[in-house]
Amino acid sequence: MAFVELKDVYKTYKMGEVDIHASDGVSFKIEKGEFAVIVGASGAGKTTVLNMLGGMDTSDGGDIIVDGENITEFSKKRLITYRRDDVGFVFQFYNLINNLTAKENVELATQICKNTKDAETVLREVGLDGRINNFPAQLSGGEQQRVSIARALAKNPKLLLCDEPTGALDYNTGKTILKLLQDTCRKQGMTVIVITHNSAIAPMADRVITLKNAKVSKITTNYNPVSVETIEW
Amino acid sequence: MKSALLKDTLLEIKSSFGRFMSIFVIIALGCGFFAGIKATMPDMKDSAWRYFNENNLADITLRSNYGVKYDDIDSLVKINGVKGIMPGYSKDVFYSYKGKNIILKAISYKSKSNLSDENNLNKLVLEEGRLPEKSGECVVEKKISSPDTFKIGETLKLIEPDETAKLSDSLKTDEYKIVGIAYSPAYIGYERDKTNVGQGSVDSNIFILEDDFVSDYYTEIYLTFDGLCDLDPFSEKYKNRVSELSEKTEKVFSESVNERYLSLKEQSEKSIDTLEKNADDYEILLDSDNDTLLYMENSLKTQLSKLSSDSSEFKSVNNKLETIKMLIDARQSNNKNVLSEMENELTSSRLQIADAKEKLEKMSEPQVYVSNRFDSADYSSYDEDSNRVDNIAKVFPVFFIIVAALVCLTTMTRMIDEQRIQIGTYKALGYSGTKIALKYIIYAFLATILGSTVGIIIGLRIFPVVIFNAYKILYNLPMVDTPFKWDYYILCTVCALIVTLSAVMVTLKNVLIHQPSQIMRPKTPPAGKRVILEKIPFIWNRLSFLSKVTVRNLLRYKKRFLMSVVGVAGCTALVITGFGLKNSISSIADKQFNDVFLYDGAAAVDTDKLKSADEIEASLSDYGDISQHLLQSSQSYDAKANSLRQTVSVTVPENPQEISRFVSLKSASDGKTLDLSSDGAIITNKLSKLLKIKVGDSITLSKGMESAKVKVEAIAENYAMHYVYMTPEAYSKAFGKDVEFNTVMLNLKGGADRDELAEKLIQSKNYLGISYLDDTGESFNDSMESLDIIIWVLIICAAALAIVVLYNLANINITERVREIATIKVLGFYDGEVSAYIYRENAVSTLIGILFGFILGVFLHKFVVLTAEIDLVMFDRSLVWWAFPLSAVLTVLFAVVVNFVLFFKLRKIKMVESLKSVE
Repeated sequence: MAFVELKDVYKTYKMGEVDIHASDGVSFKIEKGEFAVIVGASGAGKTTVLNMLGGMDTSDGGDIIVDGENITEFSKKRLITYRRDDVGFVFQFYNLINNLTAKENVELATQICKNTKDAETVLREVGLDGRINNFPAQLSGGEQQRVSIARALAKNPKLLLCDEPTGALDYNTGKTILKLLQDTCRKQGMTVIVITHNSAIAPMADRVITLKNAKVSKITTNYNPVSVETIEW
Repeated sequence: MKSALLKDTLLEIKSSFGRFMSIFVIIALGCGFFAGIKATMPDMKDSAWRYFNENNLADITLRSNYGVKYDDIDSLVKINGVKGIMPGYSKDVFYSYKGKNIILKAISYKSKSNLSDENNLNKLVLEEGRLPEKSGECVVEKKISSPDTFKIGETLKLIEPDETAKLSDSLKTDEYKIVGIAYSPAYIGYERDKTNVGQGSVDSNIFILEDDFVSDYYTEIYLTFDGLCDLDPFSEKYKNRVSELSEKTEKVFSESVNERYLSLKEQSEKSIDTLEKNADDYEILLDSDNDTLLYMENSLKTQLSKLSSDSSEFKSVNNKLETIKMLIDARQSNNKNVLSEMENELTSSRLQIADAKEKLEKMSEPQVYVSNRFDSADYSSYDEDSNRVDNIAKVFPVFFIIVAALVCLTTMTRMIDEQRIQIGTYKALGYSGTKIALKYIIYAFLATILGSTVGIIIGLRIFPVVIFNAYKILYNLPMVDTPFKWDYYILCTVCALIVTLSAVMVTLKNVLIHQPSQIMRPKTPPAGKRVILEKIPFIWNRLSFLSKVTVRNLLRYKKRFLMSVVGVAGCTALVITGFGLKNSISSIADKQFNDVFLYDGAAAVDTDKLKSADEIEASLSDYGDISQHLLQSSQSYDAKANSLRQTVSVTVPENPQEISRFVSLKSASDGKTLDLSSDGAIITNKLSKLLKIKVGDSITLSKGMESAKVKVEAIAENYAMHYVYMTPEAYSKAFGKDVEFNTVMLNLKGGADRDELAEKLIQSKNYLGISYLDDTGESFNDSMESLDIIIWVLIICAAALAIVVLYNLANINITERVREIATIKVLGFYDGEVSAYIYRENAVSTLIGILFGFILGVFLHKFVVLTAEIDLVMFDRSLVWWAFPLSAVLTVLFAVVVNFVLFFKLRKIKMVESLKSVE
C-alpha cells in the first residue's frame, strides 16, 4: 500500500451562484521516502490538494490515506493533531514569527509535539550554524526559508509539504533550498511533496504529478532523478 | 471622479464596518460624555435662571422690627432702578400633626388681578389644584417630609404658638382648606426660614390670601431691579450689583423706618405728657377745698363763654368744669362712693402713665433686615452643586478624549498599513498625495462627524437630566432644560476632527514620502528585539516558552500595550470610584447614627408645658423604659465666619460631663475624646472646613435679632449636618440669657417598646414627639440613595470605555497578526492554544492595567469625594477595601466579554491565510 494515496478526491467551492470545482476527482499515490513534485499552472488546483493533504481543509468526496489512515474521516480535533504530529509545512513566504529568534521559531513548533528533534541540531543541519539566535529580520530570504524548513523537520513529521518553497527566492538561493529538500529526502528517508508551477524542476523528483483543470492530467515516475545542481531553468 | 471617490469610501466603510464603528463609538462616547457633563452646569444654572425670571423671584427682601408701611413703600419706589415692588405678610404658626407641633410659615399670596405683572413677585408655581381664591383657602408645598395631610381637600387648623396671644389678632380665620400644591421660587431647596418659635426653623410654608392677614403693617417687602434679570443670577456680576443695591435700599429703608420710629416715639411722649398734665390737674382739684373750687368754677365759666363751642380747648375746659361740679356735689352730699371712685381714677391714670413710660423706654431701636437670594443656603448650594458637576467634568472627559485619540490613531494607522498596496498603486498611477489622502480623510471625517453628532445629541440630553435628577431630591425646581449647544458641538467636533484627521495625515505622510515601489512592498514589521527582561537570566530562564513570546510581543507593540493599560486602568479606576463613592455615601448614615450619635431617641419638649429643667426631670420619671436621659437645648442658628455662612444646630447639654453616653465627641484630627468647656464651643469638622475655621478662631451665631460670637475650642468628628456644642455656661455667657432646654436625649432599656413610649410621651401633652435614631438614619440613607444614579453612570461609562478600548485593540492585534495566527494553526495549535497565544497578551495588559487602575482609582475616588460632596454631609474619605477586588472582577468580566467575542473571530481565521503573499 502506498504511503500517501488520494482516491477520487473532490472539492467544490461555492462562489455565489457558481460552483467552482477545485478538485475534480483527483487520484494519485506517493510512496514512502519519495520526493514528489506536484506541478500545474495557476488555478490548476495544486493548493487545494496541498490544503487537503496537509489537513488544512476538508474534502467533499473521496479518500485521502496517509500512512494507512483515512484523514477525510478525521474529526476537527484529530485533524489538528494530525497537523501537529504528522505534517511538516514549508511556506512560500516562510511565515516565521518576526518576534522570535530562529531557534525560538523552531521551538514554537517543537514545544507542542511529542517526538521532536533538538532545535539547535536541526538548525545546524539546515546550515544555519551561527545564526541560531538571530531574528528573521536579520536573516536573508534563503536563510529564512531554511529556518522554515528546520521548523518543519524538527517536528519529525511523516510528511514534508512544501508550497512553492522557492517562489519568493532568487534563482541560486532557490536551488540551494531545493537541494536541501532533496538531501533531506535522500538522507533521512523523508517523504517530501513540493508544489510548484515550475515544471523545470520535474527531473529531480521521483514522481511528478501534473494537474490541469482540477484533474490529474499525468503522473510520471522518474527512476533516475537527477541532482538539482544539474538542472537549469 | 468625486462620486467615484465617495463611492469607494462608502464601500470601504461597508467592508470595514467594525473599524468604522470603533472610531464612531469612541468619538461618540468621548464627545457625548464631555459635552453632556460639561453642559450640566450651564443647563442647571440656566434652567434656574429662567425659572427665577418667569416667576419674578425678588432680588432683595426687606424686613424691619417695625414692619413695613405705606410711607416705606413710597420712599422705596423712588429708588432709581426699582422694577417691581411687592409688600407681603407672613406669620409663623403651629400645626398639630400626629401629636407633634410642626411649624408652618403662612405667607401672603396676592391674587393676580390686583397688581401688575411687574409687581407680582415670587409668583407661586402651581403643581396641582388651583391657587387660593377666597378667605380660608390655602396652597401647600409638598416635600418628602410633608405630613400626609398635605393633600388637596384637607383642612389645616392653625395654632398660635405664643400662648399670650390670639391667632385672630394675626389671621382672620384659623382653618384653611388646601386647594392646591404650589412652590415658591424663593425656596428652591428644602431649607425654610428660621423662626423664634418652637425648634427654631420652619418645617413648611403655606400660602394664603393677603386679605386673610389682620395687621396694620406689612411684615416684608420684595423688590426686583431693572437689568438684573439679564444677569446670570449665580454670577459674581449679579452678586456685586445686588450688594450695591442692597446697600442703597437698606439706607433708604432704614431712614424711612427710623423716621416712623421717631414720630411714634414723639407721639407717645406727647400723649404721656398730656396724660400726665391731666392727672396733675385732677390731683390739684381733688386736693383743693370747696372755696377754691367755687372760685375756679366761676373763672372757668367766664373762660368757657369766650371760647367757641367746637374748639378742643372748650372741650377740656368743659370737662374740667364738669369734674369740679361733680366734686362739689359729692362733697356737699357727702357721697363717699363718688369720692373714692374719683380717687381710684387718679391712681389708675397714674398707673397707666407709668405703663406708657415703660413701654416708651422699652421701645427698641429700629432695625432693618436686608436679604438677597444668596442668603438662602439652598440658593448658594445649588450654585455650588452645579459647579461641583463642572469640576467632575474637568477630569473624566479629558480622560475619555485621550483614550479616543489613542483609539483613532491606532485604528487609522492600521487601516492605512493594510492598504499600502492600494495606496502604492494609486501613487504609481500618478495620483497626487492629496487625492489618495482624500479617501482616508473622508473616511475619518465621516466617522468623526457622525460619532460626535450622535454622541453630543445623546450626551446633551442624557447627562444633564440624569445628574439633575440625582440632585432633584435636594432641590425643588422644574425639570432641567437641555437645549442643543452649538458651541459645544462645534468645539467637540473640531477637537475630535483634529485628533482623527491628524492621525490620518501623520500615518499617510509616513507612507506617501516613499516611492510607489516601496509602498507596494509590505511594511517591514517591527523587527524582533531582545527585551530588557532577557538580560536578567534569573527571571527570563524561568519563564515558559510561551510566556517569553508574550513578553516579547507586549514590548514589541508598545503603543498598543500602553493604550490597553490606559484603557483598562481607566475602567478599573472608574469602577473603584463608583463603588468607593457609593460606600463613602452610604457609610455616612452608619457612622453618624451609630458611631457619633449614641442615643436611642430624642424627645422634643413642649416648652410651654414644661418650663424648667426640674419640671422636665420630674415628668421623665413616669417612663420605665428610659434608662438614661440628658436634657439639651437644640436650636437652629446661622453660623458665620470669614463671610461664609452655614446653618447649624446649636446643642447645649444640661450636664456636659454626661454627653459621652449620648454623643461621641471625638477630635477629628486625632480621635481623642473631647470635653466641653465653659469658654467656647466644639464645632463639627465639615463646618470648620466650610467656614475655613480652625481651633482658636471665632464664629458668629445668629438668629433673628440674637447674635453672639463664640470661640472654637475643638473640632469634632461628624458626618451629617453641622453642630455646635456648648455648655450652658458658655451659652449664657455668649448670648446673655439662660438656655432653655427643649429636647431630651434618651437611651432605652433593652426590649423597650418604642412605639408605645412614643405614644405615651405624646399623650402626656408635655412632649411634641420623639424621633428614634434608627428611623432618622434610615430616612437619611433613603435621601442619599438617588446619588446612586451618578455611580451607575460612572460604571456604565467605565464598561463602555473598557469594552471599546479592549475590543478595538484586540481586533487590531488579530487582524494584524492573521498570518501569524494562521501559521500557528497550520503548525497544529488547538483552538484553545491559539486563543491562549493571543489572550495571554491581553490578560497581561489587563492585569497591569488593573494594577495601575487601583492606583489611579485611589486618587480619582479622593478627588470625586471631595468635589461631589454636598455641604450638609461629610462623605467617608476612606476607600472601602472591597472596591478593589470588585472593580478588578468587573474589569476582568468586561475583558472576558471582549475576548469571548474575539474567540469566534479567531476561530474563523482560515489557515489558507498563511499561504497568501504578504500584504
